[in-house]
Amino acid sequence: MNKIKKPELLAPAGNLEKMKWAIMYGADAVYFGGQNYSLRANADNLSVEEIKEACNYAHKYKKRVYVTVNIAFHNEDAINLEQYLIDLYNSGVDAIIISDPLVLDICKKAVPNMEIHLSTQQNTLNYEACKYWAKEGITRIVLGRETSKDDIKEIVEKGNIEIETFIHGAMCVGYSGRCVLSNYFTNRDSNRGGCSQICRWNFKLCDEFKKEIETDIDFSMAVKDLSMAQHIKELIDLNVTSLKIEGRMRSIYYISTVISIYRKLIDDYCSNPKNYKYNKQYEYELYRCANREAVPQYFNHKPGAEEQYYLGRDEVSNKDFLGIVLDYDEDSQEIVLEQRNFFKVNDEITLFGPNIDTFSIKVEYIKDDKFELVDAARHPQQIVRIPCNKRVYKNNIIRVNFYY
Amino acid sequence: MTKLLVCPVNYKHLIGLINSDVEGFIIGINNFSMFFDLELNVNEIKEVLSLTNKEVFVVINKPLYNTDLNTIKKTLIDLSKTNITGILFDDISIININNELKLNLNLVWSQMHLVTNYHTCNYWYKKGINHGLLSTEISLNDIFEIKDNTDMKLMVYLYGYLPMFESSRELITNYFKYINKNKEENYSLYEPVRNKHYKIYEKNNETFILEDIINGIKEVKEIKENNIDYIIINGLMHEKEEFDIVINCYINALKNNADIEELANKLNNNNTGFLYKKTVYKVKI
Repeated sequence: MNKIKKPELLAPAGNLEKMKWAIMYGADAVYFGGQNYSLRANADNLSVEEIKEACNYAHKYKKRVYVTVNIAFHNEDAINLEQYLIDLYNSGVDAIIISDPLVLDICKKAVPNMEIHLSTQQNTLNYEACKYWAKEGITRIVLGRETSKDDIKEIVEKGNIEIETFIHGAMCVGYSGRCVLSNYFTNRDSNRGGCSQICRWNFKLCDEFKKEIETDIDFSMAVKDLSMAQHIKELIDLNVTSLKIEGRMRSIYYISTVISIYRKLIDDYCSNPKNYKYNKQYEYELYRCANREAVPQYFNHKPGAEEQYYLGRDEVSNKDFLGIVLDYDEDSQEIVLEQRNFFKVNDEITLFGPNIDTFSIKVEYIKDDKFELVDAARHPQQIVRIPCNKRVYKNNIIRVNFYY
Repeated sequence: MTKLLVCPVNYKHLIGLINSDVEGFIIGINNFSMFFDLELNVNEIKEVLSLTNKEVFVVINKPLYNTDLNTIKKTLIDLSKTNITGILFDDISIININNELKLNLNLVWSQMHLVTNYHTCNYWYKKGINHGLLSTEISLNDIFEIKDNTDMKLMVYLYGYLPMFESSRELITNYFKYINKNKEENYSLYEPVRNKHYKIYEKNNETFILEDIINGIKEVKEIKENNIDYIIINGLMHEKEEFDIVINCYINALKNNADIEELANKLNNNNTGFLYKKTVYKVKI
């Protein structure tokens, strides 16, 4: 059997800090927005200086950096775009992700060697559209999320272009680029990065006499998250170039958890395709870190009621993330960690990270920074020690043991 | 000269308008159009063309999948043998097919909410696309600025329901499945905070939501003065009689010395959408 081509694992990086975690936990490439022209206008986003730093950091580890320049421009938005593209190129950005072809036009003149990817905002669902963009010099297309396995297969075969698909994260319920609910409800421009996520609101459905349908359950358009964990093998077999995780606004804990799971899925399959066995346990871990159910959505069938949310979703903040390893003291066999959420003596905890096999232990004792025994780690960012006879490393993550 | 294009409510309505003062029509095509009441097949379109010398545009604005491409190719080939004025397209595949098969169809760039600036109009113009239908989420000033900076012929959607949302999911069907009740025909989406109803419906297994009818009759004069090439008025979800009043008002508004105030009173709808309002996107400064 031919050696399998490993796809790229592409992760979001809402800021410089998140980017470093994404790379540490196994991303092959990261994407983020600059301070302008990007569809998450209200994420942290990076300054040109930070972009330069991000590229230096990523390239040191042989990882790639993509910057989103993916708004649908209004007349006045294009001011300074040319200089911005030059700045991105000079910063070492590996590719930009665009949606509006005006960027293509300006880019070709200003920085002809810049690699250009087409955003999912262009809602590309077929190979003829891919062929158009390929001729225009686009090298990769992020497909519309509505594409099924068969769609992706045919597009990869006939589109003459690299294909990137989403594998995890929140979904738009409408076709990307074709939803302006946010514009009309809140005056915030969805195609310029202002989306106020109206699709997550609760509504009433009324009959033709404007009388509410009699039920306790509100009308909802909210959709569950996407997770392709169980289909990673198939996506690799389809020869998809890049597997993309959504979530530029997500936490370090979320990013690290999600990336480490997909990293493992990809590596497990590619290193030993014959004996690959999908571990369903990952689905629960992915669910826990977002408090949201995640399903494959369009891959094998058209999503229905099962792929939506109707009753108020449990939005409690995630308390699973207990701390970050700062150091491991070999002599005393203790982990030095920075606390993120409350935990106490006798709690069952799990450790994971890019350079260890995930394992669980019981907290036998907790020492504070004065080496005095305490019954719990109560304070955010408090530095404490706990015993552990296995070697762990800086930036490993400590979480609640879900399976105890 | 600013021309008036009408999207009729049905075939009979279109035939009735052939001798009116409207300059042309926009017609949907079976299974591939959204937001237009009148949908015909290729033969019916040919029949329309045989009956009138007015401009006839056909809309193909649904998102297209691989499985649609054969039918779309055949349709485009058939249409290329007629003298239709143009095709309003949304999916980029249509450009590639038009180019590769050398169909020489006159394409109108009408990516619903993405026709928002003159730079991109110029990009498409250089690609041989001579017409553009402007998005309804930009202001009147944006429209005039676009006109001043492009040679593309421009269409402005000035009357009709405003498309806001399109999902490939059957959101109404799914809801009724979930609450275990039977789905009927007509529904509105009620949003309690704004205390407002929106039209919501399913068609071809997809879901659509519309914002209230926009009416730019008071802007006709200025649009004319700024040489916008086309005004579009859409009879989507209108009764024929009701829409005929609208058509007459717009015909008259385009005439010199029209009493716009009187016409505006007749229509009694002051929703100007985003014509005088800019959307924002940065919330934190």
